[in-house]
Amino acid sequence: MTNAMAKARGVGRLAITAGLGLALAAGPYAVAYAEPGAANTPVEGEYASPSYRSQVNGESTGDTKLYVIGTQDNLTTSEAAADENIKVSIPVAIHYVADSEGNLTGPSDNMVKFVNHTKLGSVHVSGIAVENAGDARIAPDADNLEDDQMSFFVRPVAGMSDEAGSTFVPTELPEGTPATQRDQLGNYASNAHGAEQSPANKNDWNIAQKHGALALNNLTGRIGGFKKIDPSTDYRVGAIHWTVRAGTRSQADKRDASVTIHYNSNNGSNVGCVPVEDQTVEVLQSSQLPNVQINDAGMDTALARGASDVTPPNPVLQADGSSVSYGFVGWNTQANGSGTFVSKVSDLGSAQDLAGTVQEVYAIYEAL
Amino acid sequence: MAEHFCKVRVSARRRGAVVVLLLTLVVAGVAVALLLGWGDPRARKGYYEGKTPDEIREDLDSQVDWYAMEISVASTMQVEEGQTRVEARLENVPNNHCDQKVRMYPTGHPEDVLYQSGAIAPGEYVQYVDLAYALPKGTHDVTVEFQGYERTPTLVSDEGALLGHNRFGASAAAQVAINVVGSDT
Repeated sequence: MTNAMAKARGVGRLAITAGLGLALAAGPYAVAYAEPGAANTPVEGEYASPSYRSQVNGESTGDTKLYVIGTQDNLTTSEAAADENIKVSIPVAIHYVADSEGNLTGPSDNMVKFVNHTKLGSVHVSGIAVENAGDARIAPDADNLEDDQMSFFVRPVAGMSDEAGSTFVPTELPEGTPATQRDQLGNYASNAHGAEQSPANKNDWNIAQKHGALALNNLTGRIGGFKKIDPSTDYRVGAIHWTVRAGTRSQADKRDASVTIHYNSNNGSNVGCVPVEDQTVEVLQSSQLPNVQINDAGMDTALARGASDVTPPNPVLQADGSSVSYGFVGWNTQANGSGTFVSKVSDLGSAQDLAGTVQEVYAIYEAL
Repeated sequence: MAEHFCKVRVSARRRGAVVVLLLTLVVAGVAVALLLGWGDPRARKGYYEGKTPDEIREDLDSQVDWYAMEISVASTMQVEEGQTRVEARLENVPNNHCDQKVRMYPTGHPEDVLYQSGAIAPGEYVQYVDLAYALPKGTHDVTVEFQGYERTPTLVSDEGALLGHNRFGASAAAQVAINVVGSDT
């Protein structure tokens, strides 16, 4: 404990919220601030109807404004979107109190939580970035903290939360794992905002279907000492940027690992089947190639299509851009890391099975 | 005579400028007095000396709900190749305690802003947005970031804007897909 810590008057109040920005920007705030295209949230089934009435002499009149809120930009019937909104309640500030021993106390277990209001299904936390603010530094190592360095612990616990209350069932920690080392926010401190990092214990961050919730428990921490941080004021020490995504984490992994290629046959030639169009992939480096296997459904599909042998692949990116067989799909990439997928159907028994069809091979990939 | 007239006009202009300047200073002074003179700068939230950990937690728990912000956006969007108008269905739900500004960028590239909204109040929504540029054909992983803002303006916001709004906690984001399809699809 440092002298500066000892000078701290017992407690300090810290907050993890947004950091400070000091770019001076004067201007007509009302014009710049409000979104001109924003409309009131439509209420289903409620519409105002105009009514017309003749004025009678001697009768006083008053104005009642009638508002009509359109649910679409025009009155033609538009196709409903195939999906719904992803709607999630996310904690955007967590307050801690620091005592003179350097302990940080946050809210109780099962209080700070994500809640899934999405109708379509599960969501998951796909990215975390922790930013420092002011003179505070958030570090991963709770045992070796310097002045103004602090570490925060968090333990995600899945449950349900609705009007009737919340239920959370803590998962068992692996034997011998100190609770404080399960998830430390400092582990995500090196990731700049905008480059969020996937949670380390990725399956702990799934949030079930509607009313599914994820509580952030064990909200405690340590601070090494107060030097530049003034413990007598509310001090914002950083910001956590959470990113959520539809589906569970494993579903998202599967989507990321899978590739959908549409095929057209080319006059029945065995090697002539080509994709309907080249499909560009963003980045393909060896380390980023999805480690895939062909699942049972995919094997059945491939065999049904005439594949004589579908070997589970171990993809290796060739620097010279040559393709590597994936059984009946090949990679053809460019040396700069980006490139196009092209099909390679040499393992298909007969491309005529594909004649006249457009098929997807989405199902054959599954992330390990 | 003409020279004298010019001098009179210049002098009148100068007086006008001085009056405007003085009025501006008076208004600014009043604003500063009103906004800064009211609250005690030494006042802190909460009093924790001598409180037990349970009592401290009870106080911290009472603020948790206030600082929960709901985000709502289309989980996938579709746009025709060459077009920029996208149905994003950005909604600031009525239960939120803050205005929201929304920014969209390709995931991992926050500097490449596809869209930036103005403030959306609780209970408002934006159905369609216009992207900064047309995305190429294919599926694009896009981050939709929601930053909350206090509804009441302050003299100088934490982002440095005069009569701006302080941020309401940290931002939260959703990762969505934008499918750019061919015009013949």
